[in-house]
Amino acid sequence: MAKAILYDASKCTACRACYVACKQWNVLAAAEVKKLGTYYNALDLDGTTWNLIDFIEKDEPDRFRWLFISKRCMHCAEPSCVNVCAAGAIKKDLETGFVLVDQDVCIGCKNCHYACPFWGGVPRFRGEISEDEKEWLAHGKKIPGKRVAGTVYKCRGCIDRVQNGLTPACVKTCPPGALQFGEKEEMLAIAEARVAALKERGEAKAQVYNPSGVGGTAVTYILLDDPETYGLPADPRVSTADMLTKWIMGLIAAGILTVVPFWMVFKAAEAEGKGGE
Amino acid sequence: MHEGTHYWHYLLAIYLFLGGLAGACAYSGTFAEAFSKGRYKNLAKIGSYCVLPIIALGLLILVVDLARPLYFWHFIITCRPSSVMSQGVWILTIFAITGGVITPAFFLAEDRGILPFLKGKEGARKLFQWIGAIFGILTAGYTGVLLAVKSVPLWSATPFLPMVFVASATSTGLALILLIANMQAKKDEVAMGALEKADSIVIVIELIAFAVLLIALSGAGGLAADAAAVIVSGEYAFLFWVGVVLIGLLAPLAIELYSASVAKKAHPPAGLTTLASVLVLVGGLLVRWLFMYGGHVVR
Ligand code: SF4
Ligand code: SF4
Ligand code: SF4
Repeated sequence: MAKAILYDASKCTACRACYVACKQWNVLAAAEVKKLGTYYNALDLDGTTWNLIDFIEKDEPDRFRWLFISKRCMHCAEPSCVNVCAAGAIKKDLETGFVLVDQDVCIGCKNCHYACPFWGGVPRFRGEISEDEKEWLAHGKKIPGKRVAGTVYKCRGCIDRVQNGLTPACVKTCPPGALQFGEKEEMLAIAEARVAALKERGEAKAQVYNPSGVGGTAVTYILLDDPETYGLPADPRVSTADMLTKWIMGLIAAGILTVVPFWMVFKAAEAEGKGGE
Repeated sequence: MHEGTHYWHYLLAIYLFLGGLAGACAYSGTFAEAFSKGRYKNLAKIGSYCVLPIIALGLLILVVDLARPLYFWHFIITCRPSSVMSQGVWILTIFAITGGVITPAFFLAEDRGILPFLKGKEGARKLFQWIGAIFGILTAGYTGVLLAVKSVPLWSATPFLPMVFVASATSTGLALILLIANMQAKKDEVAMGALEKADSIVIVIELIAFAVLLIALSGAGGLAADAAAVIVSGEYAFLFWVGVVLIGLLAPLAIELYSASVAKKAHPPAGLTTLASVLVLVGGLLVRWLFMYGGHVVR
């Protein structure tokens, strides 16, 4: 049965325990950060940062809002990254619905990064494996997944934990219970109920984010504002959805060129230039 | 703002340029020969000789640009119809064999007398040449569709990018054949005139394709409109207006129209023809450059 991670933006306090838990469980190096005078620790997803909290400051006529969102792979039901990978390195785990990169198969072409409709492209490239990780592996300790230099990385849904009856590390650690994990239907029901309650409290824009353009997402959000406010596409599409149309456009161009310049110009020679050589 | 995700660079832009160029060399020459009932066979020959070196260079660049080039075979053993990259591997393979190897082999047999068993087999040559031409079109198309199925507004918010790429590829293919025809000892002025005339029309079509793409992007609003603004009036406006439009499209168009107007009285100077073809080729590369870099601004 398809699983889901539910992130409730109305409960998140931006403590970033999820960020630390992900780093710890997956043995990912801490990000080097500059002090910017903000609450950001990591600024963006990267090869060793598979989730982070983004801070959004929103000026409204009567108030100032500080909104939080957990950026991470959405684990699309119809993942664009899987569709474009020519190496077949990304697969959807049918049991959980999580979308997983196989580091041994990935050849680092980054097509998946450009195809992903979320967060400026979720799969992020790593050219190198850190000394820490090498040491860890050299001591025979386990690292969830594999580590191969020159491949792309992203959230793995803590599949190893889930397969052993645990919840993902980020969910397990979340102090206010803003992250929950369970069957997709169950999570959706909780989300709907919560949104109804939020609306009653006056949160007019409260909504569930489970966009149908990508078949729904295993990472489901409860948002307090429009998706765009959070940097989410309102209507994300599977990037390969209109591939046929795009091919046809290219071929139409070829068709026009065949008739207009080529047929017109070169055909003229047949009449006037016969035996011209 | 998303930082540190500018993964694709000029190498991929060059690869896309070379892919389109190789494809167009094959089909432009083939059309020239077929529609003129053989009068312009020489153009097909020139085009077909260009295919293999260009593909080889392009593939070298592609593989070098991969993070794990030694694992390139993962692409080859995988057939994934939903991946344009995977489609491209197969299209390119068939194209390289038919248009890049077999067709030129027939021409070589005729020219140099090597592989004598191929000599004079015109029917067989034309068959392979046509397969090469069709897969050449698909190759040129693939370089555009590859970008068009991403989640990058400039590339994928409208379906028109492949049109621009195919038009641009065609123009560069004609220009390369023209450039070489112009260097041959015994010049065929009539054929060159036809190439120039054809190219000038292709350039006009390319301009229209650009307009369609930019109008559609702007009309789509949101990120798509922002993406169009990047090249029309933003960060990449200079590259677009001066590099692509002025140097790559309008300048060679003007030269070609001028050549056509004087052709009846005197032969247009060879230097001018060379200049026009070089400008078209540079312009074609700038088109790929523009989209590669311009696409990264709005994500
Ligand atoms: S969010 Fe992006 S990386 Fe994650 S499954 Fe969807 S397309 Fe793939
Ligand atoms: S970077 Fe790796 S996972 Fe992504 S498309 Fe390329 S081969 Fe597949
Ligand atoms: S599910 Fe696991 S891998 Fe994904 S963000 Fe949470 S802790 Fe990290």
